Amino acid sequence: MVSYMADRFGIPQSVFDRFWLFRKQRSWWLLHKTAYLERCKRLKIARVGLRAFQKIGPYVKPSTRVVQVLGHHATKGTLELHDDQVRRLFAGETIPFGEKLENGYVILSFKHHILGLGLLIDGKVRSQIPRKQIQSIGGL
Amino acid sequence: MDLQPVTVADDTLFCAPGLKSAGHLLEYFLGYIHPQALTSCLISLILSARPSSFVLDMCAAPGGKTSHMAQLMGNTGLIVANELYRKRQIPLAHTLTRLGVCNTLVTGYQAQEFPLKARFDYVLADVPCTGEGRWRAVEDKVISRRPGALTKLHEMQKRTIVRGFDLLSEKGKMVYATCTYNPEENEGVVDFLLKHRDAVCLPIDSPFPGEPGLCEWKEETYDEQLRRTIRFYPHRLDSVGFFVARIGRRG
Repeated sequence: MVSYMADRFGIPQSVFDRFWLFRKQRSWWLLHKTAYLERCKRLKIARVGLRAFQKIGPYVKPSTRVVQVLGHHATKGTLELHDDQVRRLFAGETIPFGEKLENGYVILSFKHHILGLGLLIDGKVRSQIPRKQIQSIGGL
Repeated sequence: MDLQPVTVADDTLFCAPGLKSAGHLLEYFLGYIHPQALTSCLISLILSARPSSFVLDMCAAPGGKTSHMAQLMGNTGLIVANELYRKRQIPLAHTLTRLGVCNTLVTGYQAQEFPLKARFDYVLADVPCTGEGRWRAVEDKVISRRPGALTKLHEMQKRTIVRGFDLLSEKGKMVYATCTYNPEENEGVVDFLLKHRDAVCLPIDSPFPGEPGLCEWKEETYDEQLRRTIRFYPHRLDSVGFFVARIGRRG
């Protein structure tokens, strides 16, 4: 996951130095490194940190939230959207991606705020942000 | 949007008068904001957990105070966010996820029986209560509990405050809070702790007007230290009524 984030988005691997990644079934969870974790080893833990990656088929998909948290470190594979593009993506439409980039995920931002992920296929981007979370946003 | 800082000393809280639903804002989706009653926000400020510290939130759902503590701690250290009920762990997880909190574990113990397997720098016991302080805020103003249930609730609150205190490290600090006025759930519970443990009520530096805690109620008299606790009333703050006690170890 760490090398994928570096290769695809240019997010330095050192960004992950301050985190642990825990795997549970098909998901990976991000937790800030802390010595206190040792004190919790005898507790029954229901959930750890922030869900960061999920395995979907043979692929690993970063979560919307981990992209929002770490996406500002990205130097490539990003798409800054304008108002109309946001509206179209959120309505379920695709928008063209100008640069040459291999098919896969791209980081979507709006007014330099990281929204989440889009999926680039053959020059067109489709939103991967859960529709339930964005359908109630007003003013877009 | 009209935003006003709540206090000069704090840059995490803003009043947004006139804002009807924060959930429809892009900033909400981005995890920049979380709407809370003013008095609820004060609890985390009163506990003042330092960055890189070890914190227990005994009754964490729906996660507003947990996430505020995480913010005050700069997303460092570790917060154990405990919530017994699975269905309440869902909104807790949702809040922590939306706000990008990366320094939290969730556990599912009964607060009053949280295992004595670790000692924490800070403990927050924002316990279940009769919720009288929310009467102005909620539409359903009828809170009915059977007398037996009320006794059980007081018992649970007493056991929770004692367990929270027992989980404190040597120099640890604890906050006990409810959103109710009933002295039996507030001063009565803290008084019980003072009688059964080597605990002291610490002064609270509140940025807002509150009344000191009661030292007598009906036939009951409480320790004089209860004056150091604070009662926040809605008619003073235009927010949810709250009771707060800040507690440490004697000496």
